[in-house]
Amino acid sequence: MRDLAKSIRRAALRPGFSLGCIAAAAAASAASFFLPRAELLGSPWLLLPLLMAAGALAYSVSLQGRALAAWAGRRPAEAARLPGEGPAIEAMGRRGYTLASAAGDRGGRVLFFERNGLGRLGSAAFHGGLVVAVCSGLWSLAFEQRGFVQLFEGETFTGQAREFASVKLGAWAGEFRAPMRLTLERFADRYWDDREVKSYESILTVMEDGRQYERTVSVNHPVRVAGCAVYQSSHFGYAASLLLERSGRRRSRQVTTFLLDQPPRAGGRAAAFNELPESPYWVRLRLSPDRRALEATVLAGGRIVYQGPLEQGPVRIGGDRLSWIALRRWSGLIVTRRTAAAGAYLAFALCAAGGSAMLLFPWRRLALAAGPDGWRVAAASRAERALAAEEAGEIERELRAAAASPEKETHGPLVVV
Amino acid sequence: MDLLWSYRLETAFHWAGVACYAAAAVGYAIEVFFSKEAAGRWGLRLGALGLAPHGAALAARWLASGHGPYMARAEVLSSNAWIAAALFLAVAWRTPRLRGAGIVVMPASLLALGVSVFLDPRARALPPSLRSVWLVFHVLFAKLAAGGLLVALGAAALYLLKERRPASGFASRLPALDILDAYSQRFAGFGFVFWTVMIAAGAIWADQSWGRYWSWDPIETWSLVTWLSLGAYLHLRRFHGWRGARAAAMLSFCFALSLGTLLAVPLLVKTLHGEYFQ
Repeated sequence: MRDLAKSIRRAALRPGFSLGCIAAAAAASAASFFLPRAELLGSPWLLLPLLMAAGALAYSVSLQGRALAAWAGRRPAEAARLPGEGPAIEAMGRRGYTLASAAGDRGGRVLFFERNGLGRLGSAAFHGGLVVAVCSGLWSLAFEQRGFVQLFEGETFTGQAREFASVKLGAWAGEFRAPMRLTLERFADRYWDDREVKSYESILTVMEDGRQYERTVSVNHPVRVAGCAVYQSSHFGYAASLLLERSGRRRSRQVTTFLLDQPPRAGGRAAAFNELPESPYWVRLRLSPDRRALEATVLAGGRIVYQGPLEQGPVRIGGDRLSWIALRRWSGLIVTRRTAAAGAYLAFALCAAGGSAMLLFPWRRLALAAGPDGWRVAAASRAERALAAEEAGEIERELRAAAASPEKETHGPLVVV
Repeated sequence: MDLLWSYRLETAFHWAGVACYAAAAVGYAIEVFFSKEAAGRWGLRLGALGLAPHGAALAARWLASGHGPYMARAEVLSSNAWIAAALFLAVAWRTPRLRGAGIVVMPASLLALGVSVFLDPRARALPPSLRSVWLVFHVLFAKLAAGGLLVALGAAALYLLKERRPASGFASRLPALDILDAYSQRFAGFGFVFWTVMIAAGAIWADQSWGRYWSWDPIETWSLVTWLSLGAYLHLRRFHGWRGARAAAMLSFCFALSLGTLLAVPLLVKTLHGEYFQ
């Protein structure tokens, strides 16, 4: 087991490992075009690269954390100064560098400078944010509960699992029962002058732990109730109830409610097509909400047996009678629980802060070595090597000019080995 | 303000911006192909001059429509062009040796702005799902990311130009090849970080709107593919020593992906997310 752990660690340390994770994740994303989404979310295509990415990121963060801990625990540099090093330290200070540590004595003196230590934290925070994001995604895949409810005005959702029109559960989520009751008192929608939708909201009466209160849920303004979040869905519309009274040997009275989606613009028509159960009839409805006009085309055996309005009263279709008895609004609500939203917010904060720190405060480290001709830059950061080398050249010229300046001689020469 | 007058003002300002950007692009082209440094400096001044009327046009549209420039093709292209030009001009002012990247950035901004002027100018009302402060973050960082990648592409283009025509007068005034390469990486990193913030802000906004912060929408998926490609590019440079023409080719690929995500996918696939460009 120890050998296996060592082998995994050796493999993870290779730069190709991180690239492999990235490539696998990219392939999984591209595969989403070929796999149905419902299958994708639980498929190895997605889970394996997600786990690999989480592992690679976590390892990267742990390495950076160890480097940060070592950096934070470094020796204070003040005690390391030797006489005559002041001009070099001041010159570096004008470029924003501080003396971090020193090594050697007059024989082989090396001064280590660094700038923008915050940038190091930024990289760790950025990668840490990505770890949090991936873990939040995995949490949601495992435990998220999410259900869609269609409520008519006046109807109550009692929180039972069977009342959801559709449910999405994480792999280990269990049955979704919402611990509250929601009654849709009223659904309100408003439109702009150009008839585009302006706003829509559901006014709910919430019953929770014996308490009853009113809440309004609208887009971008969800309501948090009993550990669940209730969102206003963009699906809403009308529900037209038809009464079919059959005569003869199959005498019966049956009410069927048709759900019609809201027209995309005010003044438009909503449509639905469905069968009347226990009858030979199929009905196509067209509703004009503005005029409260309902037009029906009734088919039986593929033939049109009625076509015309229903708002003027019952109509005869053969020996039967069809009437329009009610029109109500319905609203779609999304109820969710355990979505790891807190993880998403934390990931955003870490990535935004860390990324900004990396950009605005790029960390750089330089080593100045004392030589026979004065100071020279012995080493520089690996990141942005060309720019660091360019700056190193400028620093060397500046230090040599300072060493050659007659004014500097009054303060004593630089240490020369 | 009367809508008609607002539209006329906006159109006039847009055309003034087009004229300035066109002149700036010509200035950069003269500098590159005829080695006239003064033309490049004029290009910078004209580009900066063009920002003012262009910005005024966007402001007029914002006032008239009541929302930012992110709901119709015309205003999306126009605002993308403004951000890219503003970002490049800020970079060129601060780092004059990158001025030559204008040969890529200014024509791209000119093209985007020019196309936007001919598109349907009608403002669209903001649907309820788009009324969120997170949308502002999401869109702003998307545009900054695209602008950063465009500047990175410009630096990569300068690299290739200098590598292929090292003896030309223009190339001799450019920084060393490895410096251009480093700037290309730096701005790609800039684009990558802002692309990350864009995705995160969009996810939070989607969670507030629909209770789900990732739904494998085509635009979301392709933005993830673009992000992963940029991550691969940066890791290849950092750990595998990718430099020069190879790195420039990969950066071009990543930029093409970002362009496809922002502009092509919404045109090809009708989705709720892509409403801003349909």
